Amino acid sequence: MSRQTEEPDAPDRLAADRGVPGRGPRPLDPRMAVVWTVQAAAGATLVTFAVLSVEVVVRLAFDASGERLSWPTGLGAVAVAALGALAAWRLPRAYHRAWSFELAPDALELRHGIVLRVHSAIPYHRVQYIDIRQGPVERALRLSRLVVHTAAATSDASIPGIASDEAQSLRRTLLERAGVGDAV
Amino acid sequence: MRSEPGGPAVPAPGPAGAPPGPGPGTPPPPGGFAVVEHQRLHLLTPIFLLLRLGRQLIPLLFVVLLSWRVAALIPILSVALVVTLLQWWRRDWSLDGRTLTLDEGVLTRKHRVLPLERVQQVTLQRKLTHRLLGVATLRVETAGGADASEISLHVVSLDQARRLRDVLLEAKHAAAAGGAAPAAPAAPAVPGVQGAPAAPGGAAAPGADRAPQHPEWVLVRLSLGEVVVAGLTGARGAAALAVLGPVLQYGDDLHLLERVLRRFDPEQLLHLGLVGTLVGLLGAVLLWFALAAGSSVLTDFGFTMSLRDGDVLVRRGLLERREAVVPLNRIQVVRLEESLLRRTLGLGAVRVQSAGSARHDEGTGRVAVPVLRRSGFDALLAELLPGAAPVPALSGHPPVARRRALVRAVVPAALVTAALALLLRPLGALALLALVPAALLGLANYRGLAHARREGFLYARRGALIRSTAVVPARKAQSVRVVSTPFQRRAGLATLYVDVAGGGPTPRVRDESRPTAEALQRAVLQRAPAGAAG
Repeated sequence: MSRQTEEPDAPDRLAADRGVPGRGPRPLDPRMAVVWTVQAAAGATLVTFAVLSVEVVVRLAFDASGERLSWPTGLGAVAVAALGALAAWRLPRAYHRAWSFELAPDALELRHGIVLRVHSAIPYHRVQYIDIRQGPVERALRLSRLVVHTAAATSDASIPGIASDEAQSLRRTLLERAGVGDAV
Repeated sequence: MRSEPGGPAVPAPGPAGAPPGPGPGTPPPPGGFAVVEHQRLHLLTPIFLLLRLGRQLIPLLFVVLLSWRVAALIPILSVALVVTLLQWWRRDWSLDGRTLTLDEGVLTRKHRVLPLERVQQVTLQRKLTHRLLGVATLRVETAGGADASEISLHVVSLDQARRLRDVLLEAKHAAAAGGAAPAAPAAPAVPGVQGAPAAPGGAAAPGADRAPQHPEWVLVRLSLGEVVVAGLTGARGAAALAVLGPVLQYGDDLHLLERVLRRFDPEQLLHLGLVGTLVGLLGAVLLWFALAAGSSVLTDFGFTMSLRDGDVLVRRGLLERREAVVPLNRIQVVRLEESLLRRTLGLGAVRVQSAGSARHDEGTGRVAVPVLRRSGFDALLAELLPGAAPVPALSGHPPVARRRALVRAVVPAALVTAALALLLRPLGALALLALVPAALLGLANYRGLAHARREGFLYARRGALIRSTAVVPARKAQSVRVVSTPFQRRAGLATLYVDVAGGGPTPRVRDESRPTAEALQRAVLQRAPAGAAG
């Protein structure tokens, strides 16, 4: 790809450390760890309540049959809550550390994952269209997710944790390199 | 039948030769019809719609027949008739130089426009009833695989279907060539594997009405014997069930099984003795083979795969003739599949994965060669993926991958057998014996792993019982991933995935050393030329 690194209308905020091509891998916005923490905490809360309700049902069933449970109700829920809290505290940071993306000369490259480690490369000319998505938590923190689509359903090309006001320019940069142009 | 309103009026080369809109871009397709305005489907369409409706209404009709008098059928049938007639009346298609349009709907009108250059696949389907009545269903598919991306003309006269198919493909090529005249065939006359062009005067050759500058090269033609071999050596069990399925389904309605059982008490089997049992078993095995061969003949009789104008054509079927067309440049992956049995016989099967054919993979659009000599694969490969070198000597994976393959095979088996051994205490321990074949399978899986890279193509082999060798052009890669699990990382291994358009399994190189996998990733990326169409 002999295309020059031209940034004609990119705003100034697309500065040296902001995904300008050829600058190597760059991390996600640190606030993304917060998003993941909130999501993990919400998930852990749900699971905790599910476990608690099961325990209550079991307790009621045992009480009805006149037997006695040897452990107090809520023990499992507390254990799950503790585990969930630990996971929600540790995992998002580790996940954030593992995430990086790079606008290499010919392809968008993503590296992420702590258990399943993925290095995904999407040649720019394969990009068909790019969605920008925001969940509720992301919206509150002004973060966006760029979902890059190719013709293959199995392509793994979603970049979370982009500052919302930068997402548009990053999208434009990618599409320019894809040769699609912003008008399409 | 020939006196239908639209039939003869369609091929109008003279007046219709000047398309209104497109202008210089689209020359009038030779021998076809350039413009068709609001043409209804074949007059017999309501019959087929009625048949389809009838099949859906079988339970209802059954209930009616059982409970009421036959007279109750008259209102039902007349309503159905009116509905199907209305559907036929309110459905028409149009063709100008650039788009195929379908307008349909009685209450809600639906207007679908399909640009010809987006056409992925044109399929001509002829069931037995179609063949008896001289009609066909023409299915036009675009990329995407969603329902809306398909136009199905159900039904048109056979003659019209063939001409329309030719026109669609022609227009598509013209559009793809940037408006150039379609006279130059996209696939220059590379003589086919078997060398001979399809005899244009052949009895059932649908190409008979085509202009001579569109020669058709037969790549693979299977004789009846080869089709039978395909059935006997292939996994036709499922297909045999597919034949039996409808019989059993309708048989269920008629309480067939009950009647058979009443007449033929299974307990009598006990009195048959050893010889009788053996004869019965032999009969069952023979029946199974007969079913396998029969179902293979049913679906693949007269199989030919040929090249025409840069399209791959597959024709097959005994009662229901199927014809699938896939543009050569849409082919994403070509796979050679060798089951254990076929490997010993020097045979294999070939599967072609193309963009946009995911949904019909098992249906009419399936593009596959049911059986083929292993030695003939390289020649076929060169035709299907121009530029592909013959399958080279593949290099195996590092020895640490053997441990991974073993663990992958043994651990799930170990979990199951351990549970069995614990639950069924004394005898369940015998289940542990199953670990031996599991381990052997794991070792065989490791031996199946191999790959190679040659001039823009990746060859990746895997599998033990069915060994599958995928050939992927690097230029078709949509993205390339290197993925590693914690277990793989501990052994320094990783798996490379090459994502391609369309459905089907993703070609992969599993359990290769991580540096090699990343080198392959770079190689696939660098070979992907800019702007190549997917």
